[in-house]
Amino acid sequence: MIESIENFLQSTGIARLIDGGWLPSLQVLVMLVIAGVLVYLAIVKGFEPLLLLPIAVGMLLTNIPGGGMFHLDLFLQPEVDYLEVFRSGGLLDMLYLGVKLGIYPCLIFIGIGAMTDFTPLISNPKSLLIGAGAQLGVFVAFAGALMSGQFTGAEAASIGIIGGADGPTAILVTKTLAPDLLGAIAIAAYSYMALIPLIQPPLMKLLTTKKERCIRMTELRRVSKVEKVVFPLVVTAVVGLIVPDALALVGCLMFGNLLNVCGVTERLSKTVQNGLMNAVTVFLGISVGATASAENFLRGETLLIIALGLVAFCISTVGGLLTAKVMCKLTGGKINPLIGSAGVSAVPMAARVSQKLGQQEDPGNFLLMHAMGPNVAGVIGSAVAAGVLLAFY
Amino acid sequence: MMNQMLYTALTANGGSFADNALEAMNVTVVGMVTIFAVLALLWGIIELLHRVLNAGRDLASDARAGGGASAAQTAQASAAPAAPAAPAGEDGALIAAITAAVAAAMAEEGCTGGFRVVAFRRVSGRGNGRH
Repeated sequence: MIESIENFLQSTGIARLIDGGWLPSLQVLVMLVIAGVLVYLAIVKGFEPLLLLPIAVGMLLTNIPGGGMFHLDLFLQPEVDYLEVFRSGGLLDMLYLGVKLGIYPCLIFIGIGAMTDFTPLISNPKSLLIGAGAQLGVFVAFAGALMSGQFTGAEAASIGIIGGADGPTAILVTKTLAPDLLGAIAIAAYSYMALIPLIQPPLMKLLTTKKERCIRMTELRRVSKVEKVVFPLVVTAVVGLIVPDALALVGCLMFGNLLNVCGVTERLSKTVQNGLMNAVTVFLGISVGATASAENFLRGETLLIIALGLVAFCISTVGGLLTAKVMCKLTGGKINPLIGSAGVSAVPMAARVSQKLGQQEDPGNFLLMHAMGPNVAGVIGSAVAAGVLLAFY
Repeated sequence: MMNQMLYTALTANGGSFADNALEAMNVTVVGMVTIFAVLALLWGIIELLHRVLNAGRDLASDARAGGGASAAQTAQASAAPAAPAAPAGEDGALIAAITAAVAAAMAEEGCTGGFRVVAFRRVSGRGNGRH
């Protein structure tokens, strides 16, 4: 009887925590606190709750000793033994297969494509250039990470893509190039996306004059249904032919959009926008959170990743603003440079920030639809940037 | 301390600082040029597509006009539909704008057929703030 009780006590998470030594135990406790902070930010502060909450729960589950729900070491081998994963893996190992095989980010991109209205971009295709300029942060952060000497080229590329402000893209690149950094990079990417309303406005005010912020842009032209249907097909073909490594993301994004605009697949469009998107978001969030185990997350590199991620975000914002300023000059003042910051692909939050700042200067100025052009261009731009980095490494 | 940090930056990932800087520059230049090239190409294709489709639409409308069809009476949902049907008068622009909005709403709901404005009536007094 006493032996049974002793065996039970030995099997508890508390006993394993104590047996593990003071440093690992402390690390586990720190991770549980971090998971709690993320839960707080998601529920109380409303920071990207749809993803931050599953990430926090995944982090909680993976760090409780003895749970055996996730084994990252199974996936860090050069050749993953999938039979071993199925034989000895836990629930989160099974869910993580969708990340490891690159399935979840692509399915999410189908949903995003179906939810995204590309009309402002088709109506004003010049804004594609702003979306391109706003990828500057990706490469500046990549260069910074590489030259710090702390990261390999593949790891630096994964850190740089945080500047794309696109969670699924960051996850797809990182699971391929640096899976052990996935937790830190995903958390940094989603946290900064949630903080866009705080990060971008100071840079936008710093880099634009009051006169520029007051520019009213002309109304967008109407876009025919034929243009809307042809657009996703053209983008898929062009991007796929030039940067095949970006095809998975861009192809799925455009497929989702085609479902929405073609007018004959309404049921499928609604399914990918709601049921599929929500289910995959849960699986993605919880399995990404699971990668943030104490030994992987609590490293000096994590702080550096978070710092470089912020640099990437800021430089991307600056890149978009400067591109928009140049276009403003070239068009004789027809483009409000505030829409440049929306070139980072956090849809639609970045566009809303442009609208808000524009209206602070001129309450009658409506920039939202104009900013949506660069915003969705940023989604395509970051996917292309991801393709370029995947091609290099 | 600074020397140690510098040494780490120079050697930690196996390459010298110069090698890393060169690699970073290569990837950055190729990456940014590729992104701008791809998106600029898309810009060009979208503009081209718009012009081609518009040219086709202009030809079609010319043909309709030449055939003597009563197309002017039928406001198509796709482009500036209301102007021909709007009666002249001080509220002509307002009526045209409202009719265009109805046409746009119909187009969004998938109604492809045209419509004709036969009559309209003001439902509330001017300037009472209720519409």
